[in-house]
Amino acid sequence: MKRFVYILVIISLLFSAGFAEEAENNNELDFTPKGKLEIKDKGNDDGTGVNVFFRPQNKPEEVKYYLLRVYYKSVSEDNLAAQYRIENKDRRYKFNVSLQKRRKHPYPNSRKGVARVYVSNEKGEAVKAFLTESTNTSASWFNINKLSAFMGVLLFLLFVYIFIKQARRGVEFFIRKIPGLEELDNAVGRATELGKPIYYIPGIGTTSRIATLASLNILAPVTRKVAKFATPLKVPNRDPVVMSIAQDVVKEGYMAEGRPDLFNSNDVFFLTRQQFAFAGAVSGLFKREKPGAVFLLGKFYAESLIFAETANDVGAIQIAGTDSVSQIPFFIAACDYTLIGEELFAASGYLSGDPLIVGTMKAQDYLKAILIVLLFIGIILNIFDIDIITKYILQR
Amino acid sequence: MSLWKRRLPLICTIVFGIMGFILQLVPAFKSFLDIQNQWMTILFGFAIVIGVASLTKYHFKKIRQKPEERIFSYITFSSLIVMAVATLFGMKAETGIFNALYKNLFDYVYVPLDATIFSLLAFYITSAAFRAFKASSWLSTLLLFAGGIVMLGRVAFGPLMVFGELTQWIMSVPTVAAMRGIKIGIGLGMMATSIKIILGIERSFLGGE
Repeated sequence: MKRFVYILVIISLLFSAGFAEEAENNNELDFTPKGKLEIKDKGNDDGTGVNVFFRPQNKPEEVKYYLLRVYYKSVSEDNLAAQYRIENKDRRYKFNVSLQKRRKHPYPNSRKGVARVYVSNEKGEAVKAFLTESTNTSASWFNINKLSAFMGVLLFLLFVYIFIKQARRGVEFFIRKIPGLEELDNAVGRATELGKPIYYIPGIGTTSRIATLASLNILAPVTRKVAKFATPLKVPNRDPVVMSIAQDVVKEGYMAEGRPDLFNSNDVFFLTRQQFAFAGAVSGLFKREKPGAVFLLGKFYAESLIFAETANDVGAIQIAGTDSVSQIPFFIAACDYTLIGEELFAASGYLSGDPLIVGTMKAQDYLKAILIVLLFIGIILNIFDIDIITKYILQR
Repeated sequence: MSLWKRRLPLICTIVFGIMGFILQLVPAFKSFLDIQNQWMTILFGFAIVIGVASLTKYHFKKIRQKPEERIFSYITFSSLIVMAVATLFGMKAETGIFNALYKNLFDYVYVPLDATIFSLLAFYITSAAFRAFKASSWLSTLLLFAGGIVMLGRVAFGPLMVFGELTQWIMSVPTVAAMRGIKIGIGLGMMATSIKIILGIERSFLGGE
């Protein structure tokens, strides 16, 4: 009998717990969760981006938090791409979600995105799912946002073709004088007279930087000028790949002038990959070896002024140039001659006088003229509140 | 034109340059762009070996040729070896002597040294500004006035706040206008240089004409 009573008590307790749980759930869901969920292919990408829009339609007193989860392909914990906790502020929310595969996923980039919204509790846990939407994504074959850049390149190629043809026919193009490059001979001559070495710093950028390649292009004619005077040329590097290329450039430069004996691979050397350690090492070399001329051409960041001021301190003539807009003022303040912005890219053609390269410089000038005209038309149209140029041409 | 020195690098430049251009325009090929970036990381990994070899060669020669500067080379060698060993064995480890060595070298040697060199900039800016702010021509006088207003504007209070507003105007109107002009030129220059290299018109970086 006693046993029977115990069993009855246990069963009644279990039932009451079940009812309590149901009552609790009913308390949490004593409203109908509502909202508008949209998921759309982002477009202009490789098919991995979706835009998710969610507009809650419950009052904040009813639901304070929602949980938005976006999945690859199907709703599964393994396929979760992103989740966001949304505080109900009675407005429309937008999320850019990448469905890019993660390493643990066996399949490549997803082609389907699923968004699901849950009512969430204070702890941020999902309580009840109430909206699910999905979309298929597709990869684009042309990035429309780069249309004007593409058109610009085509136009430039057309100009290059025209001017190269003219150059081959023997037409001579006018190029304005660039003081920094005009002084190159003087700088090399001065270092030779003083019997001091010349330092050439190709910046701290890697070969993926155009400024570094432009600098290496200038190193070739500089080496040839240096070879004529047999002045020691030293090229400290921060990047081993740049160092390898610089070694070849210097070697070929000496060979072109018939002085391969002057080339010493130890003069084009690697120091360190750390920015300020490199700055400290180069400053130390300047202080100890007191160069007669210093060329600072390439990509520079905060260390630019350390180089320029140390070189100035040891009395070296400095010719600098960079495409880092924030470092140009430092070079102008501290160096004798500065190649401002595009002059760095024009220097190679200016020094070599190669008609083909000069032709491309002319093409660049014409493209710039077109850009200036477009800017002026844009300014005038914008005064009349017509933003066709700024919105559809210059921003794309 | 030798195959290994000129022709092959030139072909690689043209092929990969055109490929890079297409990859930027066609989002569908983005996964190839990711592969290209992974290749670059691998290449840089191998390149550091060349760098260390160059550094070692340079300092060995320096020890032989310049005995008075050999102390710097010894410091470089010992730093290179100790930091490499500490990082190899200590970076991933949670505890242990190498982990402690790595952490201490990084936090109490490398970071302070880096910060010290960076802080030198304050003094260099002062000395460069001193030279730049000499009223030798009307342009440098204009620079002097503009610089003076901006410096006053940065610390302005009370009635001097007029300099603050002037500073705001100088920084957001003429400065930005000049910078954008330079940026447009740089953008065009970069495009022109890239195309010259891709088309093989510019070959100086390969060591010659």
